Formats: sequence, structure tokens, C-alpha cells
Amino acid sequence: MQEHYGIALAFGAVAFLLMYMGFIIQKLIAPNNKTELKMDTYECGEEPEGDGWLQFNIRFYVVALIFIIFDIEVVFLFLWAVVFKELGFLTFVEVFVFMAILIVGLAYAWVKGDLDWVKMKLKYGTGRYSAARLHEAETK
Amino acid sequence: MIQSLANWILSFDILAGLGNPIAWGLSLFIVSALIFVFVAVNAIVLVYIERKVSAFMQVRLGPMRVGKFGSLQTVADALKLLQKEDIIPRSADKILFLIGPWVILVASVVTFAAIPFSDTLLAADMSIGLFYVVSISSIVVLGIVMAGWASNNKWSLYGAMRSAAQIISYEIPVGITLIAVVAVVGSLNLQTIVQAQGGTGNLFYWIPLPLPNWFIFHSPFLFLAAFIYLIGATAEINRTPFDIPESESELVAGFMTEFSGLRWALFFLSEYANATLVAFLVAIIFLGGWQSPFSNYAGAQIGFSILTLLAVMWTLFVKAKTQRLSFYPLGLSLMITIAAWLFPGFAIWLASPGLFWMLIKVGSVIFLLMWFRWTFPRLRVDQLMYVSWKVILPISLFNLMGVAVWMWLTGEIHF
Amino acid sequence: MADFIFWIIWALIVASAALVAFGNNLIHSVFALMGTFLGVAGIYIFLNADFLAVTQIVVYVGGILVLLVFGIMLTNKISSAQISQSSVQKWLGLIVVLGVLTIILTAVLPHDWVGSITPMAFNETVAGIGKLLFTEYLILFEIASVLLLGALIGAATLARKEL
Repeated sequence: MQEHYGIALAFGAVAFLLMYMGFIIQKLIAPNNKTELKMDTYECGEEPEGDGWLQFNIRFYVVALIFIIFDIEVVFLFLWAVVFKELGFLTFVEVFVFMAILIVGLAYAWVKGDLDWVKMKLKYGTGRYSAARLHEAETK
Repeated sequence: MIQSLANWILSFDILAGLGNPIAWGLSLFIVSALIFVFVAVNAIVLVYIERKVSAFMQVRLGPMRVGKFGSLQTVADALKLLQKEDIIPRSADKILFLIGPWVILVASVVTFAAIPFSDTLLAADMSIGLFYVVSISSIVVLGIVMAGWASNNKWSLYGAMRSAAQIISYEIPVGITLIAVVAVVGSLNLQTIVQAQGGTGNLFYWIPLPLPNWFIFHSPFLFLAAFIYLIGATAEINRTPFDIPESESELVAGFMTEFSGLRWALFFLSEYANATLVAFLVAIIFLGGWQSPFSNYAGAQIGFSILTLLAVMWTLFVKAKTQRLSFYPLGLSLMITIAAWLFPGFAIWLASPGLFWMLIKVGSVIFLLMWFRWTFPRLRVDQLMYVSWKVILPISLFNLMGVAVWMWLTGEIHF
Repeated sequence: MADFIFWIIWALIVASAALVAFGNNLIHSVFALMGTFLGVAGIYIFLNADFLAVTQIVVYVGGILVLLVFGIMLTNKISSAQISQSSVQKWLGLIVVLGVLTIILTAVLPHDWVGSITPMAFNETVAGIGKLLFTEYLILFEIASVLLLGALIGAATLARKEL
């Protein structure tokens, strides 16, 4: 069994080695002519403003949190799927309870708006997220 | 496969003295190198095909200058990349900048270890092959974030963060659709999954239409699952219409903005390796892998005859629509049909499973991905999240229950 | 060869864990943690626990680490000096570490580890784990879902408060 993963490791190592040979060739034939401007960060021709390490919105974090919960669910479900045929339909009922409890969580996050990417309503804007449209959708 | 290659090496009189461990190591190296060559050549060929396909879809010619019909264009491009200057921006985080692309490349090459190319061509027959592939491809996210962060560029970081959020969002529905298939087979071994799809049976168990036992024809739920998987996988490999992480009109090139030359080629290789991997998985899981669509050689003859009839109808349809006569599909299918009727050996070869069918299926899925690219407009970030969490995830959960109930109804499992 | 790979994995785990603990750059620490997680997955492979190893990669590398990165990105002015971590209360920490180490060593050292190993042929773990989970440990499995539900709701609520 272990040699299977050894093979996988060898695949990665050999790919690294062969591709690295390309880098050696590049080192030999490519020009090396570094200038101040060339080493600059690309910002569409403008001089870079500050650095690129920005603060990000918390919604990325929320998505990652919900993802981890469902990732663990997927791992459990993989276990169920393997024994499903062997243990019969009763395990489906068991797993259904498991899924239902997590679907409650999904529904909660959905209702509370944690799954919405755009959370604000544009007061005077037009289009999909304008306050008027959202109000219209809510009253419907 | 590696052991049989080692045995083949040892069968030569001169090499017999090597002993099994060295021969095994040697064949392991050969197989790994072959896989890397496959990934590299595959990328070069696919780029050419993609450019040609996109050109034909937009009524252009595409690359025409280098080689016959521009066939050497991407080789020339690769050589150009080789002689580009290797630039690491001054303000970049140098260590992560160097490591990031390698993480992505190695992760996407390593997944190929568990992929069965045919009934014998399989490097590592892992008992949890499918789960292994899913897990290793989740490492790619970190490589992308690493590269995007290291660039110290606003475009790169935006692209990387969007990409990471997108990949993790679509990993859940993809995983759940895969679980539906695993529930039908009862094994995570990819070879077992392919073997379970041999022979012919009814469409959706009850409809008396003799089709191959591929899982896409197993039940309406798995039919739907195939499409969910295709959508989710397209998003996971950041291809259009889900290419907002590197959307040219917004983010320059996303997380690859600061990379040039061979370092950029690493991203490129892994991108096409991932696309191929997705095509392989669709073929293995839903389209029967290396199984032939024909159960016997008479089936191959009749099947290609039907295909020729369809090609005749297609030609007439195109003629009626556009006043142009295109004989390519008709000619090709007619040739295969005549050959299949005249030479039973050819028909038997067509009906036998193997690498040929695997590559045909993979090629078709890749063509479908390219077709997507030039058909659908790019989604917006919020639409992307909406589709993932509020449309595909509930559908895939429902789908999983549907598959379980279906298996019970058709008597595939006891209570 | 297997021994050689084992020692490489061991070195990877220790080196990357040291980088996580002593590194000054927060984001480098996070990515070094990837080495630790992958190394631990490798150790699981050596223990014939393939499902556990792959789960380790899916959940920790593909999930927790992404969460950590996103968490760091939440921080304002990440590139300034606040990014570095400093060691406070070194001496107190050293005493605690030595104490814990003594406890662990007194538990570990008297046991004859090598003598108690019986080499076993590998058999598939997934079906075994699945069967146990859905028969003997069913209650725990269902409780796990409640735990996950609590985590989901709690996390969503906490994140919403900060908006």
C-alpha cells in the first residue's frame, strides 16, 4: 500500500527535476539585464502605490468557515458511500439525519444572509442590488 | 504497471543482472518521466487545439504561420518562454514567490498517479484513489494563495483570494456528486469504478434502450450529477465562465500577473494538467473510463452505422441552414463504418476496451470545456458564490438522496 | 528506501514546525504549517492509515490553512511591523515546556516500543472505518453533526458581529 504513495511522491519529484532542467537552460540562454523599472511591481504602468498586501473583507473568512464544516461532512459521507451497498438502506436513514442537521445550518446561514456575497443595499443605485429592487423582491 | 515494466526490463539478458529493486526504481523513474512528458506535451497540444477551436468558433483561422496550419505555433511559444528573462519583483516575498508555482505544478502532476489510463496502464492502484485525487487537488488552493501573496501586487492578491474562495466553494458540491457515484459502486478505487461500468444495460434501469452501463445512464440523478460535476470542476480549474480569478479585463492576469518566462509556464502547465485531470475524472466516473461503448463487435458495426446515419442527417441539416456542404463528419464516420464491416478485426478492436476509448472520451470532455469557454460569458463574483452555495449545493445534496432512494427502488441494495 | 523517506518526512515535520514556532513572518509560518500537515499525512501513510492521511490533507491543508490565510488577510496593515510575533515570557514558557516534556518522557520511555510491534499485512481501512462508524459508533457520528452545526452557527454569528 505504501509504495502507491511512494510512486505518487516519485511523480512529483521527477516532475520537479525535469522542469528544473528547463530552468537551468533558461539560466544559460536567457538575458539577465535587471533594471530598476523592470523589477518594479506591475500596476498598469503607474508607479506602485504602497504595497499589495491589502486588508480583505470578512466574507472570505465566513466562506472558508462554512467550507470547513461541509468539508468534514464530505469526508464523513465518503465513508458512508463506501459501506452503503454493504450495510443496506438503513445507513441512509442514519446519514440522512446527519445531513439534515447540517442542512439546518446551511439554511440558517442562508436566511441570515451569510451566503450573500454582496451584503449592502445600494440606496440610490440601480440594478440588481439597488434598494428599490431588493425591496420589491422582499415584498413579493 | 511499474512491476510489469520492471519485469520487461529484467527479461533482457544484459539487464537481468540489475535485480528487482533497481529495475523497479528504474521503471518508476521512466513512468514518472513519461507522465511529466505527457503533461507537458498535452499542454502544448491543447493550447494549439484551444486556439484553433476558438478561432473556428469565431470564424477566424487561428495560428497559421509556424508549421503546417500553425501546428508548431505553441512549440515556438514554449521556446520563447524558455529564453525569457527570469524576473522576481523587488518588493516580492522572494521565498514564497519561488515556492508557490512549484506547489501548484507538483500537486497537479502527483494526482495523475492514481488515474487509470487503461485496464493495465495505472501507476498506483490506490484503494482510496478517488478521495486521493480530490484531496491532492485541494493543495492547489494554497499554491495559488502563496503565489498571489508573494507577488506583493494588488492584482495578484485579489486574483488569488478570489480563486481560493471560488475553489473551496465549488469543492463541496463536487465532492457530494462524487459521493453519489461512490455510493453506487461501493469503492473509492478508480479501477473498480471503471470496471463496474462494463457491459450494456437499460437506460435508467427501466427504459428499454440498450446503452452501455456507464454511470451517466445509471439513473436520472447520476445524469444530473455528471453535469453538476462538470460545472463544479470547471469552476475548480478556473476556466471560463468561472475565470474571474484571472479575468483579463479586471485583474490583468490574476495571481500570475508578476510571473514571467518559465515560472509562468509552471502555472500554464498545471492549468492544462488540471483541465486534463478533470476530463479524465469525468470520463472515469461517468463515461465508463476505458470501457468501449460497444459490448461486442457486431455492436461496433451497428453503432458506427447509426453514427453514419446521424452524420448524414447532420450534413443535410447544415446544408439546409447555411448552404454549405461539410463532409468531414460524414466522411470520417463512413470510413470507420465501412472499415468495421469489411474487417472484423477492426470492429473487434473497436469493441475492446483500452487506451483508445479513454483518450476519445477525455478529448471529448476537453472539447466540451473549450466549447463552454467560447459560449458562456464570465460570471460576476457574487453570482459565482450564489451559484455555488444556493443552487448547486442544494441540488447536489438532493441528488445524493435521490441516488440512494433510486438504488433502493431498483433493488440494487437491501434495506 | 522507505526508511530514508521516513527520516526525510520526520525532518520536514520538525523543521517546518520549528519555522512555525520561531518564524517572525506570520504568513511564512502559515505556509510552513503546510509542511507539517503534509508530513503528518506522510506518517499516517507509514502507519497504513491511508484514509486518515488523505483526510488530513483535505481538512487541514485544503481547509484549515485556507481559513488561516483568510484570517490573516482580515488583518489591517498586514505588511507593517505588527506582522511579526515576539516571544514573551520566555522563561516561564521554558519551565512549562520542560515540565510537559518530563511528563511525556516518563510515559514514553519505559515502554518497549520496538518489541511490541507485530508486523501486519495491509488491509483496506475505509470500509472498516465506515462499518464501525455506522454500527458501533453511530451515536457519536450523529453527535458530531450537532457539534458541526454548533460550530457553523457560532462561526457565522461571530463573523457577523464584526461587520
